[in-house]
Amino acid sequence: MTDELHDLAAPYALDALDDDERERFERHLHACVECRQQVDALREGAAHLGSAFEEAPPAAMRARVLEAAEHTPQDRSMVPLRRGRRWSLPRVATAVAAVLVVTIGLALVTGLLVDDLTADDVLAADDVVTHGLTVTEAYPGGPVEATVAVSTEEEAAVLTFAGLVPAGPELAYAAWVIHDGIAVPAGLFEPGSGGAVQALVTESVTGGVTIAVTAEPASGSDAPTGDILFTVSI
Amino acid sequence: MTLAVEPTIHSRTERRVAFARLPIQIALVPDLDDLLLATGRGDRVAFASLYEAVAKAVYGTIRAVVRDPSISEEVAQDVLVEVWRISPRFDPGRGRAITWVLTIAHRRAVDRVRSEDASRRRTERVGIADHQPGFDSTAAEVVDLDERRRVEAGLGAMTDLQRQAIELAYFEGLTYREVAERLGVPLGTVKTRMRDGLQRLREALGAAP
Repeated sequence: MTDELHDLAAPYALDALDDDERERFERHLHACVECRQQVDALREGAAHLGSAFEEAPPAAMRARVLEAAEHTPQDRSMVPLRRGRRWSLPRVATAVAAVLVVTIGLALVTGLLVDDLTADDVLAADDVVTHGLTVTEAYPGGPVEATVAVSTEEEAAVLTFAGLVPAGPELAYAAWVIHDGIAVPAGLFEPGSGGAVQALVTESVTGGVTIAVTAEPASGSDAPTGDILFTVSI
Repeated sequence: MTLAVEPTIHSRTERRVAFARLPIQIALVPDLDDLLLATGRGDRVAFASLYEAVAKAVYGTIRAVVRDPSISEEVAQDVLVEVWRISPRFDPGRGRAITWVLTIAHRRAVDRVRSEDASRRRTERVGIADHQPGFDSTAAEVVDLDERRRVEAGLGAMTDLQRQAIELAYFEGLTYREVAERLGVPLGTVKTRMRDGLQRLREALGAAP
C-alpha cells in the first residue's frame, strides 16, 4: 500500500489525482519525507510546462487583484516546517541589519526585513515577562545565564544567553516552539563573544507553548534531532 | 518656495519605516523568493512587484489548461489573491517561488476544468446541452503552436510516450487513471512515464534541486 502511495508523487505533481487519491496522498506526504522531496523536485519540472506559456493577462486584472488583496487577511494559521535556508539572513537584510539592528553575538532571526518585529520591540512591549530557562543535563557547557522575555501580545519571545558554549562543529543552536506536541522550528543561532547571544522567536508564542533549544546541523532541521538543552513553558 | 524634503529621523522605528519607503528597496530585492517571503510578511509593495513578476506565467498556465479567456482571467485573479493570502506558508527550502505560485495556479485551473466537465456531464445526462465552447475535447488544438514550440526545449527532452502522458494530465486536466484509459496502457506504466518525463524535464532545465 505504501509502495503504491509512493508511486503517486508524479501524478500528484501534475495534479493528476482525483480528489480522494489526492487527499490520501496528502495525508501520506505529511509522514513521508522522501515523497515530499520527490514531489518538490518533480514540481520544478511541472511548473516549467506552464511558465513557458507566459501570456499577459488583461491589464484591468492588476487593480482588481491588488484591491482584493487589500481586503483579504493573510492566513498565518499554518506555519510551514521551515528548513535552515529560511533562517539565513537575506542579502538585503544583512545590509539593512548592519545599519539598523544591533544584536549581541550573531543572532540569526526570522525575517529581518524592514517592518518586522525586532528583539527590542519585544523587550519594550508593555506585557513583557521574563522567565529563567531550565538548563538540562544534556547541555555540555558550564554555568550559563539563560532567560526568555515573552510578550504574548506580540506572540514573540527573546532568548538571551551569556556564557553559552559553541554548539559544536557544523552545529547551531535551534529554537523550537512546541504546541500540542508539535515542534515548529523558530530559528538558528550561535553565541558571539563571551557566549552572548540574543535570539528572537516569532513563531506564535502564546500561553501554553513550550520553547526548547536543541543543537542541530547548521543547515537546520525540520524536527528536533538533538537533546533538549534549554526549555521553558510559557 | 521649496520646502526641505530631507526627512528627520527620530527613532529606530521611524528609520525602519523611512527605509521601507525608499524605492531602492525594490531594486535591491529582484529575487522572486525574497519578494514572496516579503509578501508573506504582509508587505503590499512586495506583493505588487510579485504580481508584475508572475502574472504572465500564472495567466498563461491557466489559459493553457482552461483555454477560455474570461474564465482564465477569473481563475487567475482568484489564484493571485490566494497567493497573497497563503504566502506566509511559502517555504523556500522546498522549492522556488515561481514553482510554488504556478503549483497553486495549475491546481486551480485543473479543479475548474474538472468541475466544468462534471457539470457538463450532468447537464448532458438530462439532455439540456451537449456542447460548451472552450471545454470540448478538441480544445487542445486551440493551444497556440508558436507557444508550444517554446516548451519544446523542455518537452523535447522526453520520449514521445512520456510527453503524451504528461501533456494529457497537465494541459487536459486528466487524472492518471483517465490518461491510462485514454492511452490503453496499465496504470503503473502511466505513473512511470510521468515520473521519468518530469525528471527529464527538470534535468533539461537544470532546475535547482
